Amino acid sequence: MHVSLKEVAKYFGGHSALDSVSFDVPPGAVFGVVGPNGAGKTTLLKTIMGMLRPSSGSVTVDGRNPQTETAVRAGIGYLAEAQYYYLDFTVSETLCFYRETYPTWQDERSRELCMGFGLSMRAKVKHLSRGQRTQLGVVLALSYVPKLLLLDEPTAGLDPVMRRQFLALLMDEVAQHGTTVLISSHQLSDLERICDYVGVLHQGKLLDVARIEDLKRQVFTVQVVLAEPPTDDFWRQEWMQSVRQHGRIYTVVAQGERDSLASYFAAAKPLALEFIEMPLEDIFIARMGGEGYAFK
Amino acid sequence: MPLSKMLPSRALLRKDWRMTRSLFLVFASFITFASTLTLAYNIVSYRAAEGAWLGGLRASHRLLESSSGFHGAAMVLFAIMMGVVSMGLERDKGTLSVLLGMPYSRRDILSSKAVVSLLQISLPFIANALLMTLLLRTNQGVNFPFGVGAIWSWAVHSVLVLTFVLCVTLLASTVSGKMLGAAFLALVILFFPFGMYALVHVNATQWQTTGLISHGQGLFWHFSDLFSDAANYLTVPLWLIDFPAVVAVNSIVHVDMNVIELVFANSVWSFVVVHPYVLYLLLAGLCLGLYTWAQKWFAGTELNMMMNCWRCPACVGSLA
Repeated sequence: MHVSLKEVAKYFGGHSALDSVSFDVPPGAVFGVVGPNGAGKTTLLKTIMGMLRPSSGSVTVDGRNPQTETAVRAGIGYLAEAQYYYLDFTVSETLCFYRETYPTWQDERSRELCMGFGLSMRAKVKHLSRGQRTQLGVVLALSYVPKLLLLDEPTAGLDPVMRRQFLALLMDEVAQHGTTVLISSHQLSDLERICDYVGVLHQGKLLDVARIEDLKRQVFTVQVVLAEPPTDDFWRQEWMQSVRQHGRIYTVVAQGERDSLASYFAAAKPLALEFIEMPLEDIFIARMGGEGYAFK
Repeated sequence: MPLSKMLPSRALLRKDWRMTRSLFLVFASFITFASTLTLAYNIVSYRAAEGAWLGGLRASHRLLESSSGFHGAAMVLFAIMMGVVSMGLERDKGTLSVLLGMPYSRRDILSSKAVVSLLQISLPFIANALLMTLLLRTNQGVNFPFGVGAIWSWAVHSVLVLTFVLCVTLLASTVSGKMLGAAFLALVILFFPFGMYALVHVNATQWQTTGLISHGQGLFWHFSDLFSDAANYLTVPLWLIDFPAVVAVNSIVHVDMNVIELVFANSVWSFVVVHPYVLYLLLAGLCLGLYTWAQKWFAGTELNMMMNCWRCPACVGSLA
C-alpha cells in the first residue's frame, strides 16, 4: 500500500501535535519514525490509521482516505504502544472477534503464532502479562495479513529474545506479502536493521526524511589529528554538530557530503583524517542536540 | 438494501452482548422476579385461599397498570446503566480506540450498542409477557382482574419507555464518553425536571395553607394539582408511562390492547380521545429522533482522548 501525507497538521485544543507533515512511503517499504517523547509519533500513526482526523492536510492510503472509507482499514494492521483489549475475553474470544471482523483472517497462522509465543487460548486477557499482551497484539496484527502495518513502539515490553523473534516475523511478513510498514520505536538499533527509510519527528515537525543509507552518508564522526591547532573560527561551522578535543585529536560530528568535508579538513593539513560511519542512534542524538533537545 | 447491510456487524453485536451480559442477567432476573414470579406466587396464594383473597392478584394488576414507585425507578436506572456501560466502558478501558482502528464506521459502533441494549431491554419483557400469558391461560379457574391485553400493553409500554431512556443515555454518552459523566448527564436529564416540579408543588401547597390562594379555585389551583400528580412520578420516563394520568387529573387510565381508545375521564381533557397506538407512535418517533441525534453527535465528535468532554475543548475537566 502506498501511504501519502500532504501538509498534515493536527491540533489538540491550542496544542500542535503535528505541523505540516508531508512524506510518501512506497509500497513494500519499511519506514521508521523516530523522535523524542511527545514528538507526535503516536498521533502521526493514529492519523494515518484514520482514528484521528487531521486538522488540515490530507492522508491517503492507496489514494483513499482511511478516515472516511472504513474498507481501507480492513487492510491496515495497527499495533499500539498502549495495548487495549477486552480484558474479560479469553485469547480465543479475542481471536474470534478479529476473525469475524477481518475477511482475510488466517486461522492457521493465528494458531501457529499463538503456539510460537506459548499463548494459551483459554487464558483470560486480564491474566496475561504485559509482554504476553504485546505478543497477543502481534498475533492479531499479523493473522489477517494486512497490506499496511502501523507499529507504535511494538517491541516495548518484549524481552530481547521475543524482540528479535518479532523483528524476524516482521521481516518475513514484508518479504512474503510485500507489506508496507510504518514503525515508531526508541530502539534505533532495531530500526537500523529493518528500515529502508527513516523520518525524524520533533515537536510535531518532520525534520528529515531519508533512506537510512543516505542519512548515514550525510552524517559522520570525523577524527582529525592536527599538528598545529587552527583558529577558533575553523570549528565554528553550521554543519558541525559537536567538536571534542583530546590533545591534538579532534572528534567532530559533521553533516554533509564526505568529499566536501574531506576537502575542508584537508585545508588544515591534518596528520590523520578518518571518517567513521555513525549508528542511527548517534545520528539521532546529534540531530536532536542540534534542535536543542536535551534534559534541562 | 439487504438486511445484512443494514444491521451492524455480527462481530460487533457478539462483542457488545458479551460485554454487557452480566448486567442483562441482573435486569432480566429483576423483571422476572417482579412480574412472572410474583404473579405465580399470587396465583398459588389465591388457590390456597380458595379464591377468597384477591389482594395478591390485584397487586400484580397494579404493577401492570403503573410503573411508578421503586419498580419503575429501578427499571429506569437499569436502562441508564445499560446505555452508560455499553459506551462508557469502551472509552474508560481504551478499547474504543481499538474499534476506531478497525474497519467499522462510528455509525456501526453506536448502532451495534443500540441494538444490543434494545435487545437486552426487550427480551426480559417479551419473555415474561409470554410466561404470564401462559400462566393466565393455564389457570382457567382463577378470577384474574386483568387480561392478556394488559400484560402485553405493560410489555410494549415498558420497552418503549426504557428505549426512550436508553436513547437519552446514548445521547449523553456522545457528550461525555466517560461512564460517570454520561450517567450524571442522563440522571440530570431524566430526573431533574420532576425534582423541579415537586419543588413547585411543595411551594404551591405552602401558599395554599397560608390562605394566600383559595383552595380549589382558580387556575393556579388546577396548575398546582397537576403538579401534585407529576410530583408523584420520579422520572420523565415514568411520567411518560402514566402520561394520561398526569394530564387528566383523577382520570382512570386503561392503556390496554383490548381497549381501543384511551379516554381522559373526569377532566378538562375529557373531550380528548387518543388511540393508545398514537401515543406509542409518538414515543417511538421521539426515540428515533434522539438516536439519530446521538449518531450525528458521535459521528462529528473529535474523540480526543485527552479530554473528558467530547463536544468542545472548553469543557476540559468539567465532566467526570
